[in-house]
Amino acid sequence: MSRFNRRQFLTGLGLATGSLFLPSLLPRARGATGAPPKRLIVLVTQHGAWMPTWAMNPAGNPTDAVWEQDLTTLSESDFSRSLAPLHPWRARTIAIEGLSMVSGDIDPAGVLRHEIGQIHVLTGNEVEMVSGLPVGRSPSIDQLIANHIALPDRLRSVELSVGGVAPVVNYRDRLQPLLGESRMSVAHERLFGLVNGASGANAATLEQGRVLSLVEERYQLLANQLSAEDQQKVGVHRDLISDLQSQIEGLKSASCEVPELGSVDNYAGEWTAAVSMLTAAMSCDLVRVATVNLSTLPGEAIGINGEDVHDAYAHQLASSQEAVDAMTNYTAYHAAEVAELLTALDAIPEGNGTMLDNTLVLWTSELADGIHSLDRMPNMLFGGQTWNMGRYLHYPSDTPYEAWVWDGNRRSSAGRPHQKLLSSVMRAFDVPDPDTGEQWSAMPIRELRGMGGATIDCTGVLDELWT
Amino acid sequence: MKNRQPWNPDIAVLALGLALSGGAAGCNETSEPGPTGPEPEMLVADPAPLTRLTAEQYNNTVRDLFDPVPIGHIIFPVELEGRGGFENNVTLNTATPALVETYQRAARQVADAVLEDLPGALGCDPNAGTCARDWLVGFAERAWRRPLTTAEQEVLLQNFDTWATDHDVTSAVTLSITFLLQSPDFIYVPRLGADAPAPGEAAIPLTDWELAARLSYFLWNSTPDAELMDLAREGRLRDRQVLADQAFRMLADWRAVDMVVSFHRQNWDFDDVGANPIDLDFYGPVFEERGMTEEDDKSDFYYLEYSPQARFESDVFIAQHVFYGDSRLETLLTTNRTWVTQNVAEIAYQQPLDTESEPVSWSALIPQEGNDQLRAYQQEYFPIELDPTQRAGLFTMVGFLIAKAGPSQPAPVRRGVTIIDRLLCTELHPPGDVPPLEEAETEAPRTNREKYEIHKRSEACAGCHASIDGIGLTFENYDSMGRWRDTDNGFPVDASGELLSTDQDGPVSNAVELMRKLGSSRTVHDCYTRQWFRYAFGRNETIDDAPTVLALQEGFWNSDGNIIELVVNLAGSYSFRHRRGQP
Repeated sequence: MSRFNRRQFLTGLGLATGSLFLPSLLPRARGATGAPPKRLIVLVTQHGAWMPTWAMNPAGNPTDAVWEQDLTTLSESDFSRSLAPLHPWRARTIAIEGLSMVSGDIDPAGVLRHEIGQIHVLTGNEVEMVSGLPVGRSPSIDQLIANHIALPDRLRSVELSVGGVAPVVNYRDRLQPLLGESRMSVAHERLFGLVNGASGANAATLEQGRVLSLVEERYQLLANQLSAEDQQKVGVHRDLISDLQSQIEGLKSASCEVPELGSVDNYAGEWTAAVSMLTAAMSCDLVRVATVNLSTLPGEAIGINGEDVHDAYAHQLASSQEAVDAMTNYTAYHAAEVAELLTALDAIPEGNGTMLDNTLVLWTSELADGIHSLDRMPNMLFGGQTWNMGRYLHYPSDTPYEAWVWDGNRRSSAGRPHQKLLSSVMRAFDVPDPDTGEQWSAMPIRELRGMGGATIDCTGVLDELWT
Repeated sequence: MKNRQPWNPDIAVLALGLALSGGAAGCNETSEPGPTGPEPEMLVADPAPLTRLTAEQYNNTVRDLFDPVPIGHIIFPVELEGRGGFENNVTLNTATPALVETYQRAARQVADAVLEDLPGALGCDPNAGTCARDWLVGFAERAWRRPLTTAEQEVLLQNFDTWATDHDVTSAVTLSITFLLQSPDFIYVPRLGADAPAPGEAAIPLTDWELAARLSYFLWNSTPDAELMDLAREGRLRDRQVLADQAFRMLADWRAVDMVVSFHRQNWDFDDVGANPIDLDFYGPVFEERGMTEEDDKSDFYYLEYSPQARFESDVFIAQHVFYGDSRLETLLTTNRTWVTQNVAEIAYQQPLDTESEPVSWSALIPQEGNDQLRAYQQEYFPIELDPTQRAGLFTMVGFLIAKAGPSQPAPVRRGVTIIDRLLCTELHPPGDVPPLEEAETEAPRTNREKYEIHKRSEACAGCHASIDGIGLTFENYDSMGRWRDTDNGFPVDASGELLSTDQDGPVSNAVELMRKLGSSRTVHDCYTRQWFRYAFGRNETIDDAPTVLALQEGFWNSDGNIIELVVNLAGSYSFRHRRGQP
């Protein structure tokens, strides 16, 4: 049971927008050029954004071209209303307009577009239906990256939900959803329960390995007697046991300043707790990959009382200015939250810079907008050292696909496949292509059919990121 | 909770009669599960996919294994449920990193709790003679719900001896417990079956030990007790009469009450009760009447008192009607008798409470403020007869009504969808997209009902929403706090609707009429049976299960919808006791 308190929500909003210190706007002196980021934080929010109040085009660039805008030169008033709280962070930001989940639009699963988007957004792959339930059929990028960069003796990844259990977006593998933990105390225990514990050498500690290898043997023996499907399940469990041994040792030997868990009785409190836990855990290398899945904001957070944000506002974007204002505030609220995370990461010195230099933050959404479009979704990148930051990238709707859009008509073209962004992030972390061992080339959906049988290429990366 | 009275024994006799009506000895496999059951060649064995203990089952199991040693509640990571909402569904039960870490931590927590009073837990001096060693062998059998093989016992004892020598007996006990409780033999409930099937037979009977665990995790959500284990050891559980006797014995235990409540909690979404935000301004007068003026007071009252009281009213309702009432589904859907707190009686039902009547005491663990820690909840619920023109069954009572409501106005679509999905088992196919809705009128809708009239004007919406809104709008007499209302925004409430695609189709003037139709509907009874099948088998039914499900549905309908009989028939069914051979 959640307890909502409007007063606290409003305080949270004020704090997030008003208490930022201004980080340097100069492009940061970087380490080795193109050095991969060491960590990944993925933020997923609900209901996309509203492009008319999200997009930025102060120079009046054409909509039918690829173009780039230097964000660092933009004044606060040049920034869009939805993204205004991120103005202080413009030098560390890449905003990407014009990517689409075309694969989701085509997906034949026949489930809610929310459900389709939640699966496509990080797996870049189709929905699989299992007993009437839509599930991911391949790993999400956070997990592929974790497989590549996680330390074997630390947590592979952590998934959190803020504001109640958010719909799952992370998949460890086919049919293996990782639901974000919504109880911050449970997450706190998972992250910090074992750290700073290396001193004791009691029997339980000394014999841990023996116990776990005995347990592992039991899983092996059982697997031999089961159906292929159950064998696989038991096999996964056995592998996790085998990881656990070094993980326990590693976490115990880690020395880490454990953050106190503050008040978590509302959305703002939970987000602040998530930020402080992730920052602390990543700074002492307990985990390198995290996803925070943010549930639909309660109306109170954006000054709406008595109505359901999802039904009464998100769904009404096409026909109501009140809804546009509300959902613009909605995105701005999240933008302020993102700024809070960036502030926390940037406050911790690391090498010649700060933690933010070694952390890539991806902010994306399950939908393009509140009325269930998947075309031209909001995407943002922050921090890291792979790309030159401080840029706004615009892609035109030049994909030959009839996308369903909010005005009820189908458009004769759509934005570019979002798989290219997923692959770009994969390449930023130097994840090798599993088939060739060369650099990452494509998500599982490589090609789609558009209008008149036209081929839609979903492979490759967003080349403009590397310019 | 352990001292509840057993339920009405008359029902037991009736149910036993039906459950075993297939043969005099009660073990005639050819005619089960009843006179209307399938032909012998249609008896279907269960594919028996590997089930894993749910969080609830894990906690119950360690509680019962170590009783009376207090273990403390173990918190598990959040997990996805299968569609239909059952936590034991095998579809997505592959372990995750967070879960495996939790098993490790939980095993340590259990072992630490046992160490608090080791002689007490072991029943002897751990350092004296073979005390600890003997205890371990017995404990291993209870934890793994079967005797260990010679090889397994050797591994266990060799390690125990090594640990006792290298460290001490206490450490050896701790380490052995953590080994046993992290093993798949404890965490999963394998059903491998007795022997290879005879040639030409695809079904394998479960072993007596597997039947003991199968029964106990179905009927108790917990581990088998000593009596079940003894019967398994004697090889008697494969006798269907013995198994049925055990089912009745177990159903008279408070753990069965918990299980039946848990089934309904999952099936009918009780966990949603209290999760909704309420508009404290819109409902301000309700709070102010009770002397609350500060927003914090209102908020605390609504979320920390009213909501939990409404939430557990549903549990008490189920427990009382199934175990101390007539056990009929129709009663759950149509009765005006419930058990309430004073707050709910006065606010939702606007009726005085007779606090002289004998209350039912209910306790539970609930999330603390902020959803993070758990706290003990204890509350007395007093019996009450509600106005039968306003209330008929659980779905017209406060829990369901506040769970499916917006902050100020009720949510007819969510109410309708829940009933269609959970009472009619009709899978709704959500719209691929939400078409933009033209505002035909310039005026804002005057009532909540008018807001939804827009569905009728769009062809794309009307198809599904005719049945959804036809049900959902009949609940317009109940506001977001579950209170009866005759007017909405100053206009008279129109709660008329229509039931479609059932055996009881037709117009109704309000939710009370709707619920009476649903209560006597064969469609609803058949759906309820399917839900129990899913719960009992940890999976959704397939086409292969049709004979089993049809026989159960026929039995349930012919028993006048007796829930206890249905549960016993499930436990006695051929599918429940046989697994399919490996393909």
